[in-house]
Amino acid sequence: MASPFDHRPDPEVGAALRELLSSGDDAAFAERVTAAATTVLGREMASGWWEVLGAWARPGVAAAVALAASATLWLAVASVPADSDVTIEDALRRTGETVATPVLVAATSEPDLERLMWDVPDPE
Amino acid sequence: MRDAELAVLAQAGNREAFGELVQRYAGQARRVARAVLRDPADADDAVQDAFLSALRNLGRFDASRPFGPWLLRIVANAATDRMRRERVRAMEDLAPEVASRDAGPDRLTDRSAMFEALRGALEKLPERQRMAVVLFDVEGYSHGEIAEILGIPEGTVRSHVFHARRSLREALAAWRP
Repeated sequence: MASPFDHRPDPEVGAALRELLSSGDDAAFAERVTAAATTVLGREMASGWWEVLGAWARPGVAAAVALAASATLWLAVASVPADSDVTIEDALRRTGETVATPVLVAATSEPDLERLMWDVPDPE
Repeated sequence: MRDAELAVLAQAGNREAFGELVQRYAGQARRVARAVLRDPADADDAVQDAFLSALRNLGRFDASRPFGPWLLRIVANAATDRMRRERVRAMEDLAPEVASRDAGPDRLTDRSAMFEALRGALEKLPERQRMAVVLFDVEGYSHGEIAEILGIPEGTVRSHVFHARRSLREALAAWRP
């Protein structure tokens, strides 16, 4: 029997352990693992392709949105006459605003809080 | 075909190449896992997980180095992780199991009883000692390779093999003519 200090494999311990731990169905087990790899990795590869396609699609969608926004802006600008003399007052009047624009634009002091809040209902 | 060539093909998606690698290393991998895990089904699950993990990470394999230690390191980690999970789960069943293992020598009369005793001695060893002695005495890996597989110093591997052998020889001594 070899010494425990031996730097060579111990044939007796090795043979006993091999017999204890070995299984006779290694080939069937290898087939099982290979089949699992095909299933699992096939699924992962499929999801990987979707990710690749998605990654390609995202810049395309962003470019299309940017193009549409640019076209809309260009059309809006192009439809306004170049010599338009529309003032901010005109614009506010079209939306129904009744506050005198010069007051809004030209005021230099803070608005009166009492006046602003006079029609807010009392919480009580 | 060499392991490294098969690994390259397997990484490229070649099913047969991966299958060949599994066939070559299934025996070693299962023995290492069974040294750690008592339940053979658990051991096989750990080995399968390890092979799939290896396949996913073949890109990290250095083809200039041997494939076996690289793979068995993954197997050892998978088996150890699973054993820790099982240990937590089986904590309540531990006491009766130990009691039955300590049965008297009268029942240790045949070959299956010898293997039962060997199994008992193996299970009393720390997991690293179990793997070290199996990798050295059964699989024939060098101390340096085992150090790489287990991620421990070579001197520690020698110590593990020494202590494990001593315990296993004591268990086997009762059946020696």
